[in-house]
Amino acid sequence: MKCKVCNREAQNKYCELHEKAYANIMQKFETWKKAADTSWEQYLNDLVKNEFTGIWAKEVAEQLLKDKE
Amino acid sequence: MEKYTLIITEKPDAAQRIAQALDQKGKPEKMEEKNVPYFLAHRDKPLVVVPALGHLYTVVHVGKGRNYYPVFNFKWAPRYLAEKGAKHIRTWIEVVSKLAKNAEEFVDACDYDIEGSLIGYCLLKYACENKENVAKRMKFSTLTKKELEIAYDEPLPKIDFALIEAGRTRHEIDWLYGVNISRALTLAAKRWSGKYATLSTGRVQGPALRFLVAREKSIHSFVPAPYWSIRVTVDIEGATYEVEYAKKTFEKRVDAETVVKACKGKAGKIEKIEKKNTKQRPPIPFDLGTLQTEVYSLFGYTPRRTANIAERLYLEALISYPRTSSQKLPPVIGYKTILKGLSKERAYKGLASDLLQIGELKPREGAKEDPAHPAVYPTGNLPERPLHESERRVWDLVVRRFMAVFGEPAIKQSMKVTINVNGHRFYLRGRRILKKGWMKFYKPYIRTEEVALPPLREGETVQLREMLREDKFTKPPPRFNPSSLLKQMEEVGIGTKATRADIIETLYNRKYINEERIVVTDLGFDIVDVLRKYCSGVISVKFTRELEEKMERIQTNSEKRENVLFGAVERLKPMLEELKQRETAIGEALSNAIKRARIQERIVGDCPTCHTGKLMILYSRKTRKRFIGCTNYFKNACQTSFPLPQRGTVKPLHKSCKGCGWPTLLVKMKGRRPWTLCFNEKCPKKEERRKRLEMQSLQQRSSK
Repeated sequence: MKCKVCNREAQNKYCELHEKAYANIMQKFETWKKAADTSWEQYLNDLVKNEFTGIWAKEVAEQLLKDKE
Repeated sequence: MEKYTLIITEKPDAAQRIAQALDQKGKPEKMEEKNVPYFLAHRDKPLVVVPALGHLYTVVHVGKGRNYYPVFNFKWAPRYLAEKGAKHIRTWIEVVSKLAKNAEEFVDACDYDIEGSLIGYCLLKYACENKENVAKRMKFSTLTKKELEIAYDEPLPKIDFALIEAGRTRHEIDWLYGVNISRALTLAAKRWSGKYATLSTGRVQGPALRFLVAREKSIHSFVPAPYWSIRVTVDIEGATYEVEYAKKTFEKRVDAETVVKACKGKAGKIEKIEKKNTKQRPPIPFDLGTLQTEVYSLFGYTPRRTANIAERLYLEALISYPRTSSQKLPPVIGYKTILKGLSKERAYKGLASDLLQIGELKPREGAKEDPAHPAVYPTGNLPERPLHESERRVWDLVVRRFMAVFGEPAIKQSMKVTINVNGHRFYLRGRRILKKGWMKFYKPYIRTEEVALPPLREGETVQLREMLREDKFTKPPPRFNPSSLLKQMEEVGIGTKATRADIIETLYNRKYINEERIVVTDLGFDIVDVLRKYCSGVISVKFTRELEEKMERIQTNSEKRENVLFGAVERLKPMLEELKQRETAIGEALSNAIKRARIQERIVGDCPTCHTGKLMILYSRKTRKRFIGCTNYFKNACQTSFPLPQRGTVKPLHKSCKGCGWPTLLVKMKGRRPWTLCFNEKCPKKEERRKRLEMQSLQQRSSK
């Protein structure tokens, strides 16, 4: 299986590197929701724009937004 | 020629200083043979002081060819047999051998540590033909006349074999790991792609790179979390002060908004004023690591640069031996004599005399010890030549730190004013220094700011001026810089004080990392990835630290060299077998990484025309000439191109032009100073320069 973001070898949807970023995105959503009542889509958009979001996390967020489309 | 004592030193500068110190008249005769300097001095008997040039011998492979592994047969041999460009070492060794023939006594006066002892041992054993068992050892921590005379008059009866055994083992193990794994990686990539590229890793280099990759991964996969804080200012007697809310951060936006709503535009009442005095003890003396860290944070010099500067100051007898782990200053170094010496310098006169008035001087010391040397301290000698700016800074820092450790504790007062606004508490904080104590010695390097508050009374009313909710996000972990990486290596116990800075430089040279705030390249990532998959031992911090500990035990005679070597080889063998079995997969991964790295190296910056492509250094297929082109050219989407100088080298600078913001390049040509090239023909800076030159030529013409 290939990673949906970078085409590297992957066991699930993402390679080892993007999998970690994906896990972080999933884990932090609860914090965002509680903090500012952010919706999933808004959360992903905010992550893509945020200067502190890591590059792999941004790539996964973009992929998740594309998947939604 | 009369028989003499041959004194071996580590470097030419040290030889000159030792010869000067030991010569009765202080004027040794400088000799030179085949460009190798040595010194003739007279004391109780004739002395010949000859320097080494660092390590003249190294570990080499016994056998032919480089294109295979594993290799476990090695021997110690002159460096010129193993390294290109080390031909001068042959003449150097010949001169030492010749001088050794007429010598009747031998003294090793190399730096007293693992490397120095090994340098002396190799020369005594190989160049002087087995004189290692008859040689005496001079032990000193500064190159001052007094200490050198004592070291010569009261030498150690033998060279320190335990230290030498530890040094030999370290070099041999490093060679075994470095040569075998580097060859495995290089050959795997070469066999896959047919192209040669040096790939290296080592026993310490691997774990150091692993730290960096781990940090890079957490930065790349970082997801920030929002939080809020409240920024408030108050007006007191016409001045504005920043105050903080009792709760520094809010996890929910609504909580922060509630506070802002309740307090905005309101006045507050001073509820309580608390003052607290705290003692701050003096800093501890510098070992090499703390000196490198302090210099980096104050002046931005890399650990390698600091080590080089400190080495020069040591060779000029201005500071003690810098490659030390000690944070202790024993009384035997003569505190008062040093201070008297320093007091001859105008800048230190007052400070030194203050300390000299104290009856008994007692330094504050750190916990770390080094059996060979004390902490870094000034010798009390003053510079014999004007020091370069960087040298002067490091020397001044060492001098002031030395004085500061004898100072009294500083007393700081912190003040906390609690302001109640509509039931919410805010704090106004002030701080000042009541007693400078040691701080007066270390003044230029102290980074605490005083915040003076006006006289305030409990019950007084203050007006809130500005009240804002600040939206913030958690930040990713900071990148390592050369100094924090060095500190990390030290903390986990990998490498030695003498090698850590060099290892960091190697990571840069191999292009595994770049930039000052360290960024791991794709190649660096892939190297760690390959090593993690196929020979994880070589990047294991635990394994490396265990090996370090065993090697340290050799120094104290509690471990045998043979056992440590045997254990290391047994651990290495299965790793190499694994690497060999997976050679194709490793070769493919590394070749792709090298290819990506080479492309990355040629990327200049974003295309200013299409804004989606990257500008890259390309070569014309027809003419072989180089130029800058956009990567979208290959998709027929952008035709942007710029000419480049065809001579010399061009390298992307990854910095924007100050005139137009376009990416820039560094051009280097033989016989010219390197210059920054902005390839934007319409750059305002170019226009400015053209006008300036025109004006100059007009002025010249009119003056004629």
